Amino acid sequence: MLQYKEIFLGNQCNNKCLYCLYRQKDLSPPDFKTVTESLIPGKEDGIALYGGEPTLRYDLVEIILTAKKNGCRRIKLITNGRTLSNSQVLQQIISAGCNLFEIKLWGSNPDLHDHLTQTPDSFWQVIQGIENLRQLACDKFICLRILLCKQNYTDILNMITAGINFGVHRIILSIQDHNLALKELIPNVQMAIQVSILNRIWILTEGLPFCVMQGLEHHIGEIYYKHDNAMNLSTYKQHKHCKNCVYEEICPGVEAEYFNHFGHGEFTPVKGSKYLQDMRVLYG
Amino acid sequence: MAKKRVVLISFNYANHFSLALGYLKSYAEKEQFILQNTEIVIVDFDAEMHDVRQVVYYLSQSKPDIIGFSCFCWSVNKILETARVVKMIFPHIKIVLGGPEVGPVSAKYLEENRFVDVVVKGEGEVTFAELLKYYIGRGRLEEIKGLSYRVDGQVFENTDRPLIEDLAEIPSPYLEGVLVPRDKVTYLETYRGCIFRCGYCFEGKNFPRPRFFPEDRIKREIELIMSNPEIKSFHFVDPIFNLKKERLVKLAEMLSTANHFGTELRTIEIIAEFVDEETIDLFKKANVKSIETGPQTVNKDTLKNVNRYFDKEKFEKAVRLLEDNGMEVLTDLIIGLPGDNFFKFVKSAKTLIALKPTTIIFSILHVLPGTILYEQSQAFGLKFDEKAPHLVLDTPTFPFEEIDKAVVMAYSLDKEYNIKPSL
Repeated sequence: MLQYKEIFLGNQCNNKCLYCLYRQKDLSPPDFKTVTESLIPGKEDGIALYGGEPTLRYDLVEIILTAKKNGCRRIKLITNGRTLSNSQVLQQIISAGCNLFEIKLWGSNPDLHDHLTQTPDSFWQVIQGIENLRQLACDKFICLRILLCKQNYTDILNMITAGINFGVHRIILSIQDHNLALKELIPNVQMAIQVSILNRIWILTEGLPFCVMQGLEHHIGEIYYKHDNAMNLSTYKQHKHCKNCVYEEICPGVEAEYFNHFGHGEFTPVKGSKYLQDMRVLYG
Repeated sequence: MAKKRVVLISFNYANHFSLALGYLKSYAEKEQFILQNTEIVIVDFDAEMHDVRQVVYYLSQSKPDIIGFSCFCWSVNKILETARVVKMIFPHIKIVLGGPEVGPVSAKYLEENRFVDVVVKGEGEVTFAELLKYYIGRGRLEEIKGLSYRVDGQVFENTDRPLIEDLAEIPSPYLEGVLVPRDKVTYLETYRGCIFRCGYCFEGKNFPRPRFFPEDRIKREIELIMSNPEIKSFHFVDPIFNLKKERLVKLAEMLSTANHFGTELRTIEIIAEFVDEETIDLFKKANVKSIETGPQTVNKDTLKNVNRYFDKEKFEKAVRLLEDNGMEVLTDLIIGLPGDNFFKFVKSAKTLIALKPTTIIFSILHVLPGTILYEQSQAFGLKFDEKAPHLVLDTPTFPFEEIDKAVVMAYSLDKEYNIKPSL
């Protein structure tokens, strides 16, 4: 619900995630001047720094300090969490004024996580990073971004459990793999939502069409957030049948590729929703 | 005759002390008969740190004849537990309850809790003093207005007591030395009552007409508090600090003149819609550093259901004016008001977020005894916990599971929006 100005810090990364959006793209990192000039004094209440992996920027602390100096109240770091395992670096980031973190997780164990990041030891570094954050006495907000694909969706409850044990303040389930059949994923998502709410952690989904979230509309992230770049919805599309769905105006649909793999049989236009009017107001 | 020992107890959070008990003592001790025949002691326990056994231990040592408990929705359960145990060990001790939690439903509390002897209804100063006189040998219980009580197991409810017309009758607990002002936790009251009738609030319904303490007394209280350099900030308990411009002018002058040590006013409750440029100047003159205000919800139907006045444009302008002039703005939202639902609540949160107040305080509706919502709960279809703190459970538009989800979401949003700077 809080809007952050998303600031891309380049696609350099110390992971080689199988499902990375930027892996194949040549996106040269903006220089310090370009980044800081986009931070207009007094204008931005919140910014989200993302990549690639933003913590690899040698000038990250300087960027955070500049944002803070320009009156930015909330600075969020969207990170794979590995750098946070270095407690000195973490302390520098925090001291500069960044205390909101969105940390990506691909699995609840090293085999799965490291396989999907294609980076040995990345799992334990993320875990150490979250642990370091947890132990800091300062106020902080930790969001666990669970990235879902066909290799890890059955591990979802274990990842939720990790989030619960770490005492995170929010969980986002973000769909990364459009070769993953929603009919297989959704029961796991439903269970994840139940377990998360039972444990008092707010949970949102990202990249799921509204029709498969009936009864769980409260958890559709797209209702609350408008993404600029960090979440790539530009390749999403709706099927022609979606015209008959009450959510047509506000649902992003699914990744275009999905229809090529699985057709549209899973998607039944929603005929009515008691939430529609109020959801429209929010989305607008 | 030996003096009767009277212990007045409250449970408070964050090192606060009870202003209400200060009033009871200072009013009662006005009367020589009470002063000569009783010894009244006020004890503030910490609602989080002190448990029932600690309180009972204290009472076992202080050996009171009468215990008066100040009951709010957040403290009554612990009070009842304390009173129950005390009565088991010391059956001769008279247990007296008072306060907004028990007053409106006095007979219910007496019937459900056989260890309670008396419940004071409404404003307590005069009623409690008359009760003390009865305990030390003067008057008849059945003639004391504003009282419910038990005799031989049977519960009786006397007629209500009219409100105290002239608040000057109540001596200032600060000026009398009954309460000692302390940093951050001192409350001053300049008037009682509210011009609004918000459905969830106790004040306006039960004290509909504002009644004011004398200005010279307020001035002396302010001077006393501000003469202490250790007191860096204090509060006003007034429902609306900026109720009337002419009063605000006088208050700001008093505060400004008495302020020799840069004492700040914090978390004063205001109606944002009444704020204009002149108000800002007066707040600055009074050294107001933070204010708390509504709107509780921004949805028209809900606002109508709870009689809440909200003007978005004026509210927004006030937030900007206050913040631009260096004052922190704390805004409140309530989850579970009648007519709201999950997404309407989210809309309220989204609206407030867009206004960029310093802090957004989320709370769940308490359907408090003595409020309009409590009395009209059936008409609104409100289901709420009969047991304090009376949290709303379910409404026709906001089923339990959605209220629960809204609470979980609000916790997350609170953490994110209200994050404290790391520097």
